[in-house]
Parts: sequence; structure tokens; C-alpha cells
Amino acid sequence: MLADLLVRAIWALLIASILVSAYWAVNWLIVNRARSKRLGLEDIRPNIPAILYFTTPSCVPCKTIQRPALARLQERLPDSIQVIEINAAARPDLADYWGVLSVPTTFIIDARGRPRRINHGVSSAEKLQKQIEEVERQPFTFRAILSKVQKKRNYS
Amino acid sequence: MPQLKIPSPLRAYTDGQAEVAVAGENVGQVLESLIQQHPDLRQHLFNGHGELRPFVNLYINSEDVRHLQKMDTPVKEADRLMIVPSIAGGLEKVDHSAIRTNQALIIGLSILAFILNLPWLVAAVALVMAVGTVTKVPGFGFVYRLFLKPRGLVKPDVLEDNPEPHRFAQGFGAVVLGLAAFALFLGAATFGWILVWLVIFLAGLNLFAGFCAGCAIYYWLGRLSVPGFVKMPPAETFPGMRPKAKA
Amino acid sequence: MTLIIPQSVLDRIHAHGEGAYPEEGAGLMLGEIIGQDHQVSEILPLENVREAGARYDRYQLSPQDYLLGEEEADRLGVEMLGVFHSHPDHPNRPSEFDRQWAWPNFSYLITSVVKGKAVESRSWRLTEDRASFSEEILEVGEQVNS
Repeated sequence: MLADLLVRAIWALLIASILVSAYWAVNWLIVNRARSKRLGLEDIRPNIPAILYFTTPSCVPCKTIQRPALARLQERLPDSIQVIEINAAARPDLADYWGVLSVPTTFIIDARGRPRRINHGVSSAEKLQKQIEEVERQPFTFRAILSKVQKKRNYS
Repeated sequence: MPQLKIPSPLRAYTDGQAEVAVAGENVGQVLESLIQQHPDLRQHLFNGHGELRPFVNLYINSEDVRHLQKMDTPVKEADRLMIVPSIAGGLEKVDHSAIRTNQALIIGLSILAFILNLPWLVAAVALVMAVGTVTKVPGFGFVYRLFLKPRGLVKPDVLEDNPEPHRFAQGFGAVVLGLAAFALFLGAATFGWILVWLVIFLAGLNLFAGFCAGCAIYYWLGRLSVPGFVKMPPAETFPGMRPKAKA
Repeated sequence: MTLIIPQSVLDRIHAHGEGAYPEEGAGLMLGEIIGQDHQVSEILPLENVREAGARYDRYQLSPQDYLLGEEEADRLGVEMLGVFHSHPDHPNRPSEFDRQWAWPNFSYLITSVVKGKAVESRSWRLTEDRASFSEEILEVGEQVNS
């Protein structure tokens, strides 16, 4: 009885790991296919990370949760990020081109213009900021950059 | 000619007139004649499908046309018609903490059922989800409401959101899990547990990755122009009629 | 675009919202239309006719009450300016549902009532394409000028 239970527990762990890996693999594929994508980014300003944000008119959480979160992020990081909003219902061609599966979907695009992350569903301002920082491999607050500079000074 | 009374907010589109003479043999024709004279009224009276917006009431001699023959209600010379607004509004609030508690319990109990090989537990979870779908609440929401929230273990996360896709996702999960339980009781163990893991996967996607399968389905149904999920209509739709055949 | 309202009238709107708490309260605003501005001189506090249980996050005024409002406006020789309603424990911004059910040209005054106390009011008007609301300036005055 106990052996049977143990075997099933191991199976459960295995299946869960496979499912998690499958999710990561799909996301990696979508972002990788997006690596060379330029359509929709025509108005992007160079050297500033961007968030490519897909929405539709009938998506309620897009309006009530995601858009305010993006606005808060822009307030926190003025001139340090740009948000490009695309109506997936009006531009289904762009939505399919980028591999959008639902809305809201946000792509994190680094300062070099390369898509690096994808979020299916609503993402908080904090989550998006963390992703941008990871992608740029440096903290995005003035204080953090200042402390880095100070650290360098203390060591020299 | 029949007279149509115009409510205050629409008088800006009728050159300030509070009453307009209209022509037509039924209500549909009368409204069309009104919009011919004052085209700006169309989008405020009719939605994208050419249906009268729910907050627009049309009264003919003090009777709501929705209780008569709606757009086909006949109109006579001496009839007095009135557009009367329903003034309404409100908040659509969803407590995401209740939803997350629901998902966590669905996942936890389903995995437990798999490890301990308990088909009846699968059936029980499916039942709770089905009841939740019908009563329009997260099935295991009572655990959050009665135990977790009062003890401060989980804080409310009430956001303005549409509850429909969440309800749809739970309903879909209830059906799949119900099928799984059925398969398990009939002895089709592999098939049954695959279905259980499918539900665990979808609930996990939602809970951990923020990917709401119900929302995705709503998105695709909207993209495929399934009625009820579409916002933008074909342009030449006559009010009250179905859109013409697709191009 | 401005909504001009005497302090005494705004106080009555706040009292109505507090009285309805924790449900949503609503009513009509009457007054003068001066160009793009709305000057409130009178209000009609009305009953939320949504069914019990639904009044916490929905408000509705009956067509009869609306007609009462139009009659009152005619009687006083003023115009119907818009609607005031409260958001219990919620910010005074219009919701998606507010937008779907909104009428053009009306001022929508929303009061945030937190834990039974009216906190602040802001006023909004539906944009012409019905896609969103524009906030209008709320001018709270001492008395109504004619």
C-alpha cells in the first residue's frame, strides 16, 4: 500500500515537472520567435526598454487593472521605459505575428530592442519593473545606481 | 404624425428639441426615421449589434415596448412615444484572493486524489466546482470566506474585473473533472488521471503564471466573431436586425 | 468643462451617500447649462431600485423616477444636468459598468464613501465616442449665481 503511494507520489512530481518545463519551453519559443520581430515597434525610441502591451476593447481587467499598473510604472520610471499599446481586435495580424494567446499580454523589450520576456495575463507594476531590471541587468532606481557608483568609489 | 419625446441628455443631438415628429408603422421604423433626421443619436441608442441599448426604454402611450412587440410594436397617428433613460451604473468587483484560494484547493485536492488514488475525491472536487459555477462564486471560496479571511491568513484582493471568464474557467474545469471521475469509476484509469492533470495544469497556469484559460477562450471567441463576445459590429446593420451575411 | 455646485448641495449629496452606505446611493442633479459648464441648483436624492443584495455594487433609478426628474426640471425652469452616485469603499472614478450605462452630455458626480464617511467627490462626462470618461473641473461655491 505504502509503496504504491510512494510510486504515485513520484509520478506526481514527474508530471508536475514536465508540465512546468513545457510551459517554460512554450514561452521560450514564443520569445525566441519574437527575437527578430520588428512589426508594431516602428515608433519605438532607441536605447529605452519597452513594454509591448496587447489589449482588446472588451477586456475588462485590461482597462481596470493592467492599464493603471502600466501608468504607475511609467510614473515610477519616467523617461526610462516606453509603453506601446496594441488593440489585438483591430490588429489581429500583429497579435498573431507576436504569438498572443490571450489578453492582456505584455512583452518586455530591452533597450537594444530585443523581446526578452512574455507575460500572459495581468502583471503588476512591481512584476514588470523586476523583469525590466533583470533584463537590463541593472537596478532601475536612481538610488541603486548611485549606491553602485558609491561602492566603486569606496573600493578605489 | 406620431410625436417622440426626447430626454434631456439627447436633446443636444436634436437641435435642442424636446419633442420630434417621426414617421413609421412600427417602433423600429419610427426609431430609424428619428436617426435619419439626427444621425448622432444612433450610437447612444443602439449597441454594436443594432440592438436597443439596455438602458434605453421606449414607451408608447405609457407602456414599455419590451412588454409589447418590441421593434415590431405597431404605431398609430395619435400615439405618444417617449425615450426614457434607465439611469444605472456600478462596480464589477472580483475578489482575486477567493479565486486564488479556489485554485489552490482544486490543485491540492486533485494531486492528493491522484497520489492516494481516490476517484471519489475527484468527483467531490468536480461537484464543488459545478455548484460554484451555477451559484456564480468560486467553489471553494467558502474556505477563504469562513476561515482564511476572518483569521487574516489571506488578505482580500478586490479588483474591478469581469467575473465571467473566471466563472467560465471554473465551469470548464468542473466538466473535465466530472468526466475524469466518471472515467475513473468505469476503470479507465489512465484516461481519467490525464483529465485530472489537465485541470491541475490549467488551474496551476492561472495561479502561478497568471494565465487565465477562461480569459484566453473569451479572447479567441471574440477574435472568431462569435456573437456575444464581439464589440465591433458590421457597419450597415439596421437597428434591431441581425448583421448581413459575412463578406 | 466645469461642474459648479454650492457647498450646501454637495453636503446633501455626501449625506445621501453616507446614508446609503454600504450600498450605492444615487440621484439626479438639476440646474443651468452655461455653455460647456453645468451649474447645479437642486438635487433629487432617489431610491436605488436594484434588488436587495445587488445594491452594494450596482445602482439603478427607475424610469418613473427619471420622469419625475424631468417634470421637476420643467417645473423649476431648469435643466437636467446629470447623475450623482456613491462608490462604497472604492475610489471615485467611473467603472467599466458606469461607462457602458452612461448617457452623453450628463455630468456624473461620483463620491467615494469609505467606512461610512464621504471622502471626496469628482465629476466626469462620457466622451463623444463612448470610449471613456473625461474628468471635469469641480467648482464648489458658496451660493448660486443667476
